[in-house]
Amino acid sequence: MTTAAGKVIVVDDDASVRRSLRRLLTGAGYEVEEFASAEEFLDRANGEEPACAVLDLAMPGMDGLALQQELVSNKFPLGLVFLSGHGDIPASVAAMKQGAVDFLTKPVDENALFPAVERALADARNQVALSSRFSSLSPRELQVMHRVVKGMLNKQIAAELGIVEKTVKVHRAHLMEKTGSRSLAELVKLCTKAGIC
Amino acid sequence: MTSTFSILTILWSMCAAVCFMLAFVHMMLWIRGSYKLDYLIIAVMATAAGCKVILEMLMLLTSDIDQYIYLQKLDNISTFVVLLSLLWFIQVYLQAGSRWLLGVIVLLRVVDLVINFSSPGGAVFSEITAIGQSEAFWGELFSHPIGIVHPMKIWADIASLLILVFLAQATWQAWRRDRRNRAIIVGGSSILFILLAGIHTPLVDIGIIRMPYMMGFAFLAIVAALTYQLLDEWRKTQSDLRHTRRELERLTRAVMLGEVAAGLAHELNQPLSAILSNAQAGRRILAKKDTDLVEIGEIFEDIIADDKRAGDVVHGLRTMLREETEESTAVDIESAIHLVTRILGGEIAAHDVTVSIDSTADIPLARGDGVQIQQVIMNLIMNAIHALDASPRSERRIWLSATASDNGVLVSVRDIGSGIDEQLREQLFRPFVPSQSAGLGMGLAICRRIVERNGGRIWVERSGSSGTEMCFTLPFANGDRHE
Repeated sequence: MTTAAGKVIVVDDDASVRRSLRRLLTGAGYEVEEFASAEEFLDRANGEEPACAVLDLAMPGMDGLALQQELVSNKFPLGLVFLSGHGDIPASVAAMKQGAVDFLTKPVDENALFPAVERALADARNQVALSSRFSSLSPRELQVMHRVVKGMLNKQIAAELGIVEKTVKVHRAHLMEKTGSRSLAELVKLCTKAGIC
Repeated sequence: MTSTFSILTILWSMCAAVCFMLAFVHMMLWIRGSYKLDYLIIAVMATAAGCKVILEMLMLLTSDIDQYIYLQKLDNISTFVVLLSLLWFIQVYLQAGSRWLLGVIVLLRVVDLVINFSSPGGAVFSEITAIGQSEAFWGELFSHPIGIVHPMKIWADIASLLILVFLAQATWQAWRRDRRNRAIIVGGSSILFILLAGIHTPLVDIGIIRMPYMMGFAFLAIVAALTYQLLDEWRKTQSDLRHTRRELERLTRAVMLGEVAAGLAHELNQPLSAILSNAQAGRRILAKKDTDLVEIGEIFEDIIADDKRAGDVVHGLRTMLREETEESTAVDIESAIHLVTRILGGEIAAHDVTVSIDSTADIPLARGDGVQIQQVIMNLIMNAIHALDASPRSERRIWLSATASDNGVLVSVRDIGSGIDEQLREQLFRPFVPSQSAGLGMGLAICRRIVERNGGRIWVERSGSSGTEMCFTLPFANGDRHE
């Protein structure tokens, strides 16, 4: 069993469920934080550290799906795992479409929970790594990148930004290097993943 | 007048009394049974039969010719009314019998009535010469007329024959249409007693047999037979209704169960989930070298608590599904309220409703059927939840309270929802009056039945734009008033 350290956030309105998940995850070596409601979590979340968030789907007040939307739009580096009382297919589809890592049914077995948490943590770390790659780009490089990804030719980009084609080529080489992409296709994939375009 | 007490007087007046009593019963049935024509017709018929019996009695006691003629004329009217209402009833009730035959009979009887008032001696005799006295078989003397039978009397006898034909035909038709019971009792008894009276009376008229007139008794027998049949049908309808109502109660319960099933699944999954995770965490802790026994103890505590929680949910479900058997016991209303809110936990959460339970300490126990009382509370809460659907999420609140009052334990369910329509409030507790867009409209009707059967009362305390408060009471278990 994995004992890799990592932070797991548990959001569930049921105190007993919360406690049991904390024990289980702590026992497996994770660092666990508990919240009784989506609102409480949003109030206190800082979104600095990559973490896995285990969310209960049905909660009074803001439910799991609404919380997910909030987290996605705030670009918190979180991998999301949903827990639901009963297999709710429309909700699970919506959650997965929004980028959830897994959708598990209660009662959840550790053999299903731990791999999901691991994947969520990996997902969160990827998000952080991705955004750090893009964060080193200069404003001009970002401008060029947006246009490259859209499929514009160097000539067109130069004309639009009012610079010579050669400069565009330099910016383009820099941004490919900084993001670690070896081809245009790879860059597009990275941008999509990071939600930049 | 030889004897000090007259059997004739006693018998005939008793018979009249029975007639009038039946008339009264049918009148009440007519008024209370949504004015069904059948009852009114029999009420009229029984009244006329009662009058006829009294008139017959007076005729048997009088020795004055003029008085006798006068009584006989009145007697003829009552016969007219009895016969016509009988035929009318047959038409209405059996929905059979030839109409033109009915027309001929009515015509003949009207002619008879005209002769009754135009001829000086009435319709039976053109002239009464004397009043004879004969001895009845029990030894009492009674009066009978001696005279010349009216030549037109033949038409009245023909009318009697036609009545028999009409009755026979109507009975046969009803029998063929598979209304066997009605045919035998209503048709059969009418034919039998009309036949008896129709043979007996003319024979007395022409003096072949010397017996008191007894047509009134025959009419009473017919009224009694019709009464028996109507009451029998009424009883069957009532038991059918009761059966339907029971079915509906079960159905409503099933519908409500469907509504809360999702919530129940959630309620069960929570403790199960916690138990599984706790157990797996415990196993993990035990596998380590430095086992934290305190933590293990806590895990067991949690597992036990969650198991009980799951058990309560299952128990609640089972009591809801159970067939209706009334057991009157001492019920702790407060724990009933808590149990119901736990069962409805999922539903309450799904609608974002906050439930506050407010009860004074030491409410005395109530007497009633615990499961049924839970059902009432559940129904009222469900109604309140639905009433709040239109309210903003932050204002969805329900207050539950249990207090001791003069009339027993008082339970109140209050919401700040949309309120009940003024027009609906009057008939709210009647079946099939849906107060919400969804539902059969049986909920509150069942609530009232349950509460009243348990010796309490249920009412709308107030309802308006600021919300609704529903209250019900249940008697104290110890029967005393609470101090």
